[in-house]
Amino acid sequence: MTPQDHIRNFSIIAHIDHGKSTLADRIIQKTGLLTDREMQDQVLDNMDLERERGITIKAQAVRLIYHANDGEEYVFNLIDTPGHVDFNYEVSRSLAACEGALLVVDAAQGVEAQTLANTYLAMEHDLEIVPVINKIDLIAADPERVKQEVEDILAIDCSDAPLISAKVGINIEAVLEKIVEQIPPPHGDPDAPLKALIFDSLYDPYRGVIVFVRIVDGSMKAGTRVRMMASEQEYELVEVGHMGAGRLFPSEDLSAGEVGYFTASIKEVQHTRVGDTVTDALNPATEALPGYKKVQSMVFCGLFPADGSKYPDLRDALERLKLNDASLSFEAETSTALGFGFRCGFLGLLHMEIIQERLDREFNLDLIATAPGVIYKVHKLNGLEIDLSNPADMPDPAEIAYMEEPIVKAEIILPTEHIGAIMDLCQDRRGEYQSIEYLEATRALLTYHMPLNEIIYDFFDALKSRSRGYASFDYELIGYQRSDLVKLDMLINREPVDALSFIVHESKAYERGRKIAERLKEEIPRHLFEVPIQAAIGSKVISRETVKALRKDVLAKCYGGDVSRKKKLLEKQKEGKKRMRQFGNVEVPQSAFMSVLKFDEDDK
Amino acid sequence: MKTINKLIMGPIPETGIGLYVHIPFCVRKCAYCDFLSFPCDAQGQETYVDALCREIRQLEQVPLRTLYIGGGTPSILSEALIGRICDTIRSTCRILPEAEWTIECNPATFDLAKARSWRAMGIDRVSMGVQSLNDRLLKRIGRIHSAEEARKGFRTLQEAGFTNISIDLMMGLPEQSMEDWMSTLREAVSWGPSHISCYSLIVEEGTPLYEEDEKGFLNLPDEETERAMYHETVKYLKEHGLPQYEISNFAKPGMESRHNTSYWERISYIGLGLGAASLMDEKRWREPMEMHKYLTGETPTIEEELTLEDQMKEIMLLGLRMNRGVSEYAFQKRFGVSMWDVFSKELAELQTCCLLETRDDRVFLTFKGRDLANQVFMRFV
Repeated sequence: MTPQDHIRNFSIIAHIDHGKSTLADRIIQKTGLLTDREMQDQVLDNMDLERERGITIKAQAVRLIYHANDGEEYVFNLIDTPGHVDFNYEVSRSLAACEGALLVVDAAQGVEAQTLANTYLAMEHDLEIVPVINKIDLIAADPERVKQEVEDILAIDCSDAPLISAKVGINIEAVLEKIVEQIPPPHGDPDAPLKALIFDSLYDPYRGVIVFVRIVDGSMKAGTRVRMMASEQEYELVEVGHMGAGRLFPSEDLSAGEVGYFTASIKEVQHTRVGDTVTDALNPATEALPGYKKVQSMVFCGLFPADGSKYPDLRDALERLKLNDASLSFEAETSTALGFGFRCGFLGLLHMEIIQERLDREFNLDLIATAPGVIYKVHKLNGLEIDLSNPADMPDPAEIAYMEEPIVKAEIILPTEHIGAIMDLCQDRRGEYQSIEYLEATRALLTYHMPLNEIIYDFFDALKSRSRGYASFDYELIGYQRSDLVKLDMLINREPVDALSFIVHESKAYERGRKIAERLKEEIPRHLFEVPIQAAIGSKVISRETVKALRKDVLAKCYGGDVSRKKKLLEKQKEGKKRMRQFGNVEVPQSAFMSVLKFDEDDK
Repeated sequence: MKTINKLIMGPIPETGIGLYVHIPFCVRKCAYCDFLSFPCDAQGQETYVDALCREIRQLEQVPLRTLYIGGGTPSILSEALIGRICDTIRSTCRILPEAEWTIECNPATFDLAKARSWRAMGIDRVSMGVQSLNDRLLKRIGRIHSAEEARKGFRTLQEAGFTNISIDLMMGLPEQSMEDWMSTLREAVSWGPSHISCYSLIVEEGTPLYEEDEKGFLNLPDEETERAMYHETVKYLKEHGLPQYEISNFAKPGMESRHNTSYWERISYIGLGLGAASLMDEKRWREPMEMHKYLTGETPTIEEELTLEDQMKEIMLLGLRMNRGVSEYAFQKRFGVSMWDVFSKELAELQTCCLLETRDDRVFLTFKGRDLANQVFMRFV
């Protein structure tokens, strides 16, 4: 057992692409736990998807042995955190398991929105922050300017911040020494009743849930009967140990200050929620660790299999994903247009995208997603208040006293030359200006309060295109605000299509309705009859387009030499028809449901 | 060696089959053409005809009810080469009495002597590609001849003694107006052909017109105009004694193309020559598409072997192209089941949307059904 003063528990925090994973790799390499052969490019990023997107989705931890310049052997527990705002809660739990954090800042780009958000989060947890200036090998690197920026904006002393390049391996030793010098050791009481913080978990088909914990007080070993204080589940531990890079090393016990894992034949990931406190069932702690929250979904959408017969496959796939991802929620939903599917809840947009991509990639499911929505609060005249996450459940407007929508605080860091364009964008999205701060001569921090439903469509894309890719963005939910919201229905051939309904601010309804009607007109093939497409609020039609009747669809020639080929053409045409959704007499291609989700900048 | 005769498994019906001979040569490719056709010198033509005749010689005593020499432009072959083909057919196969024998030709590729030689060889029907009688449009679609040469061509065929002459015309051409089209149609009818084929232009992938269309330079008549041309054509030709008998074909009564009709009735046929297709013993096979493979005698590829269900679908799919449609009785007799049992859902739905009609013993496309025939055909693939 390592004495507590030789343990260092820390995370690495950074804006996306500032080199967090690369630095983690280098630290793992320099501490010599692994041979070079074992080193994958990015050891901490296990999933293919993460590697391609260059971000880390699931937190993991690794224990490393470091022989410091003082001749002593130290145990480093490096706890990786997801880099995106959607996973804020997971980040906060990971940080709660640490005493310090390496703050990695790109020597060319400087402080970005997530640098700011993550640093504030680390400060909230009273972590010792060790700044590291990375990518000094870049031609555009300006470490002195960036150091100044970190000091000015974050008030963190950078006078002896290591200037490194994780990529080419410059100055990594300095970082390791800093960890030993600056980050305080843990100071839990090994003899107090067990208190361990769950900061992540992983489902393993053979061992059940593998739970990652930081032992705050006391100790645990195989055979210990533990209780999760929030979920009130009890289990007997089967195995405890430490995490190597991509491997588990069983050990006799885990004691105060240490980071490790346990297994206990747990089948439900919901039983071991991130943030929950593990205690000894026979000698329980009186109080749980602070900060536990039940994760709330922020963004919702309907997911339907393109091929209706794949519904059971979709259910299985969602259940499989949920094993590892307690923040994913779903319940069965039936749409007249799209058949059987699921209403799914996500932490945010990125989370939603990742889940959709994983369903497509890992489970080979062709999906139709409906427009993403948020939770609205509907106050009815009879005094009842309901949380509305599915437009289909919207009560009759006559029963509604008023509605509220979620508001976020959006922080945007951007080059000053784009301020005008981005303020226009925020204004257009019903943003409420809060402040502008000049970080330096050419960059500014813009703060807006914005309705969440305005940023879940394409705000990221619009932001990037209007700032030529230079703006960075972060948001957090700050509350609910009363708002004039309406449910917009799309009618195809005079029948409302439930899967196309959504809730929108009254001032945006006309424009959005017109746009979607135009899109649908392009997507819906011509039928034997005229197909009207209408956008309506209640019984009031606000926009109309018409798909003209098909006038000509005939192969002029078919002789002996091309019967086979003509049959193939007809088969192709028939195949295309089959892939469409029958809606009354109208066939609607899947692309129509997707097209309404995409609004290009130039459509505005 | 060639193995055409090895592909023919069953007995050939005494009522005879069709023979198609493909001549893949032309003076120059037209801008809309996606057929297997290209320019070729005299030596190449001779080598090809040699290979063709070797194949024909395998069809010993095969009874033929229709013959068709198509292309490309068969009329660019010399009298001697066409003669060799025809002689080989006549000396090998058994041409049934009343057999129809067609050759395709294009204006400006034959003279009176050549046309007379065709007659002498037993050919009794000529199909001439006129396409348009407007020089501007002829040029636009890359034809090699003028309107005047087409007129002269028709007179030459008459002079040579042909009484069964068919003319191919195209509508829906780039920049073609309703009046452009109708004046071509009126003049062509005034010549007194026994048969007219009127094709709506199909812009096929890989043709120069397709490239133009992609760039947005094609300026085709809009759908309304194009359909109006078609509807006007059906009306005009009926009034002038050439009623429609298939989606794109019109003829004096009794002068319908027997060879082409046999495709829509699924009568067996053998296609010889580069890329030519055959339907025999419920198999569809095709000769090699590349010249060197054809010349070295590579075996044709079987593209489809048709199950009973496939055959039933094809009877509908092809039969419905004809105005008279498909006979319930003939269907029942051929397959031992009623088409109303096999295709109950399809037929009912198509009747409901007014694309199909039934009268007496026959199921056929409605007027609207002929504009939207693919919507019908799709149900039978």
